[in-house]
Amino acid sequence: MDEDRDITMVRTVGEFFINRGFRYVGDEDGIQIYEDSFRVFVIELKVEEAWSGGILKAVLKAISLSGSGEIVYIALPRSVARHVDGKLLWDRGIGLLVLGEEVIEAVKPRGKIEEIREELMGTVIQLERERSEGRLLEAIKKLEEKIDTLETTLRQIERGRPIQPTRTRREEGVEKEAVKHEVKPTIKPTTKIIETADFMKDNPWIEILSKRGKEKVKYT
Amino acid sequence: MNIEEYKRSHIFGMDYGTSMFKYGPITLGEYPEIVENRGYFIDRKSIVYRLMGVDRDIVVGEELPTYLESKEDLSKLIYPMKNGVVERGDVRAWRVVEEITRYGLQNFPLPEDEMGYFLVASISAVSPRYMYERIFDIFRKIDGGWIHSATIIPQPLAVAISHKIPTCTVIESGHGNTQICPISRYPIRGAIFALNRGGSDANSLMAEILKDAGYGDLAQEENLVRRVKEEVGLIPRNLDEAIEFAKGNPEKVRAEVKIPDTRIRIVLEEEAWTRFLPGEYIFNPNHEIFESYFRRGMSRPRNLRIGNVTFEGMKSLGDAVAESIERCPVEIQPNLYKNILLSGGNFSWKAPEGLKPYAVDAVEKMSIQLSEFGIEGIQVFMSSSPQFSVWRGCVLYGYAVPADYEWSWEIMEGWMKIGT
Repeated sequence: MDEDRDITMVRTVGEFFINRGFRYVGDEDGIQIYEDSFRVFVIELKVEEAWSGGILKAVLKAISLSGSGEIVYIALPRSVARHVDGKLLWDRGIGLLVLGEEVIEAVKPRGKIEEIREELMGTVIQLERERSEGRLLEAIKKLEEKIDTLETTLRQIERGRPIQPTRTRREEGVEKEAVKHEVKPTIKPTTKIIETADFMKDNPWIEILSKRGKEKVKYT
Repeated sequence: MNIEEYKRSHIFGMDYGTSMFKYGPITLGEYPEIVENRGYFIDRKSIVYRLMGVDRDIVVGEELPTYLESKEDLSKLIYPMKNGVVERGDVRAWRVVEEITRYGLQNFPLPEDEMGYFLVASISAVSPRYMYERIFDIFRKIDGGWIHSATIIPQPLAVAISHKIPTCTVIESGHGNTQICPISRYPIRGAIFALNRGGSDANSLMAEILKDAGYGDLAQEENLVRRVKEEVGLIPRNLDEAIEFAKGNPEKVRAEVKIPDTRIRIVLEEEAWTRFLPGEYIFNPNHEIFESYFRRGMSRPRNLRIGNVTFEGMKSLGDAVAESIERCPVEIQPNLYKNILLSGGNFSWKAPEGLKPYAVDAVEKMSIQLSEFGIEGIQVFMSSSPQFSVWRGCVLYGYAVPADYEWSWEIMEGWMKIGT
């Protein structure tokens, strides 16, 4: 029974790469090798190998290959793979294939070219982000100024005063800060939490607990 | 934003359960994050870990399984709260508590300019005072401005809060023990009662049943035994009547368990009457039938003293509940019987339709045991979402208790200032 399962596994890993245009080169020291314009190494473990210390050995072998710039996968049965932290493999550039009814590439491997490409992409994304954040900050600043103006206008209307011409934040300085502190604190997050969480709705404990420190303890 | 308003949106709940640690800020809504409440100590001299770039001595959280190698390694795997109480000198267990607390907070970083979380932690009702002191010390030790203020509440209080019941008796039964805690707006600490009996004792009995049924090899696997107990174990309405029925009608009580993805199949046929034993054992281990198991070497639940708390071994659950409630003022006793809340995984038992006259669920069994004392108006409820109810209670507690309510060692409540 075990033999049948093994044959199926090898075949499915093979199919995975052959369907992607690779050819099977051979097996060296238990490592399957596939080749297209570059080579891919696959270390495949059976369930019993994995649980008897095989995972660590496979990871060490994979680290060694990956360190030499090769693209390496570890292939594990699904029951084993779910116990493996993919981040540990990702951090070391090792790929993970999960073997079940189909082969799933759970973690992509990274050879040297991919690392350089990722680094460059990271820099580009960072630059883009900084640019867009700069634009956003500018827009937020303008919006804040508009809100300040509207608040001042509203207050003047409430107090029955004639509407004053608006001033910019820089001109208004300290006086504007004082107006800001008059605004009642917003309770948006609170309201949202009460509305969404069932265990908070109509819970008599909210009133009981809010009196803590202000009443005498009866039974403890 | 004033401090009260800030607090309400910066509550962080932590439930140190016996097997799982539930954590997260109020903004998560109904469901916290969950990881196993355990830590794994790494051999820092190991060349393998040096190669892997591991420079820590302990691992907690989701990545822990990737560090486990063989069965021998399990001795380095520590569940600090397995009895609900961490011994004062258990250095490793306290290291795990510290690391898992740090892990929980680091998963939800705050912007640098914020003042830190108002942290509400929840621990077993039987935790002695030194546990509170040590946990506050851990909070102070975790630097980086994570915590503004912190408080610690007993888990049964949190359960009562999340179920919206101000006066009730919470019975929390977990893996290792069972705690009974009457609550009347505050936990009534003088009435807390602890039993040294939990799910693991029913597992031990199930293992003996499996041995007798010819599955001695499988009885060594604790997880498998637990699974079989959950699949086939039953609570009898009356043990003698249930056994008599089962022995006369083995085909109706017959049970089969198949473990998926394996060839393991367990069948109870002639021995099917034993299905009623694990459930009875949780509620009352004094039936004479259990003596034969004790004589053959199964440990009798013994009285145990941890810290300054005595956990009784053989008292029936009904007796323990009544004794606990009777330690409270007479005027609130009727209300405590009227709202009995069962919480914890050890109360999850099936009562199959076909066996209904003989098999009952935990709620009904508790009602039956208490009604034998002639008490009227008893109402027993099962906790909804038992996994999350403590965390929810923590969050609501932090939300409602005023930020200026300072910690008092006398009543063990309030906020302890942690951050500078």
